[in-house]
Amino acid sequence: MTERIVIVGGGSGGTITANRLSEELESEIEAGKIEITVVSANPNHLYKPLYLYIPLGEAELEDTRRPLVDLVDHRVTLVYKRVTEIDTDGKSLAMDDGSELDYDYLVVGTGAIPQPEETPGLGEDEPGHHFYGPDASENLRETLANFDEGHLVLSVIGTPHVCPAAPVEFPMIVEEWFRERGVREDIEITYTYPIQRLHGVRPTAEWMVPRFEERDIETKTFFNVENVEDGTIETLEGKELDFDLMIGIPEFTASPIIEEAGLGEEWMEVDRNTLESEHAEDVWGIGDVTNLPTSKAGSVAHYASGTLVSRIASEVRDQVPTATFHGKTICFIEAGTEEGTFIEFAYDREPVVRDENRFLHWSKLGYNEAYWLTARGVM
Amino acid sequence: MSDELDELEAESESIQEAADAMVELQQDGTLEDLTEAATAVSLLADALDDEMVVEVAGLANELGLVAGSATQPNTIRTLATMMDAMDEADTFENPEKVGMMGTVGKLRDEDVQRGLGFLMEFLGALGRQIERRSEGYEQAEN
Repeated sequence: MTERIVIVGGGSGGTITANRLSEELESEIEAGKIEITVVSANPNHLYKPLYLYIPLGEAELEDTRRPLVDLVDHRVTLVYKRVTEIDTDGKSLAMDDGSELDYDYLVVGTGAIPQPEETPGLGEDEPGHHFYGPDASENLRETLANFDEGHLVLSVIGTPHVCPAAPVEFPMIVEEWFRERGVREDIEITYTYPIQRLHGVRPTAEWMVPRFEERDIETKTFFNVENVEDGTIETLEGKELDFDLMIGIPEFTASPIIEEAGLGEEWMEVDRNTLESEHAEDVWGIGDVTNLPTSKAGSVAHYASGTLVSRIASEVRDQVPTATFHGKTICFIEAGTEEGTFIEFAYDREPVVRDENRFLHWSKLGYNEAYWLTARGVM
Repeated sequence: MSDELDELEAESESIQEAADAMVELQQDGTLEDLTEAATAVSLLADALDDEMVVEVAGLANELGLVAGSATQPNTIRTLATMMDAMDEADTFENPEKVGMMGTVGKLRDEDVQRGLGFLMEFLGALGRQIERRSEGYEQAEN
């Protein structure tokens, strides 16, 4: 009898897991004991960190996506449908075309979805911009290209948000970009953050302080945006801040199918070491959809996939799974347009942020080009 | 001043370990090699720019994707077998001319039949992969 592993989602977590599983279970697949299926409503795989570069004209939309079929191992079946329901008792998925797909093992990697419409100041007919989607990034590019004087405010509104370094990088990159364009003197830049420091990760916050000061980027903390109207941001704390251009980091949520399936109330609830669902048998979570106590970053999905693949392979082979995940996370941080650094941490290891340099900036640029090897499971 | 001294004292163990490591590297000659290698890194830093990094990384990405498929165990075996066959056939410079009747005659050869069997399997797999990709590209463009 053939057992079926179904992976929901064709993002980083789903794609890397599918590719590594097909390698690990090659002999089982050839013997007809296992089949692997990826279900993705989006037939393209997206590399979302590049959205940050689109507003500055450093990347194009076509750079951010590749057909999933080019990245997923040929032994994996691709189903281009949207999952509308997960029945963990019946071990079955319902699709948007009315069809159903049974599974023996299920991996959920449906990601974190930006909700600009639910975020004060963002969304259609609202004044704020963001860079967490293709259209939003292109709109911001057009606005920035014509922005040569006034007050730019970057406000972190939603937490947790994906790509935790992006709000740190954007003010520093755009500040240098304005200087290169010769308009920096006519532009004031302010960065706001909801808690009483500049970033949720303390060493990152400490790293930011002198660098933002050097660049004359104003900062406001304990700044929780409540309402945006007539060029003014109003906060829960009763503060007000005028702006000419507002860029907001939106709220993010899991897909509603997670809560509907009883897999978690806000995010998919999994064991932080085994990635197994806390609410259903033979179900695992990977990537931004989970409630893992670390950043929502692609590197987490990348490193967690090794544990996930090992544990599922053990289950398939009737062995006792022993691999565990310990929260390894790495994020690049661009400190302007010419230098960068990175931050690395785990559940039990405090982050360290090194001084920025050119080589780390080039490492990030190089990784942006070579990311597809990660998705393919090669790197 | 007192704070600085306290800080220095707190770090004294680390400073001593770093100094010991440096002395060891100097004594065994590694430090000299590293110093010389550092000038090459310096040259690299001066010569590189963003565009060069992007170009090289992009090329490495595409080659890596091909290599990722080419290094599957079955693919390696098949490629190795085909290369061995090329070597064994050794008739590139003056191959025998084979017409219709000759082909029929060759088909009685069991080795040729086995090779043909491989080609038929390959063609079937090629068709399936073309179908898989075509569907994926069509979906991706919509």
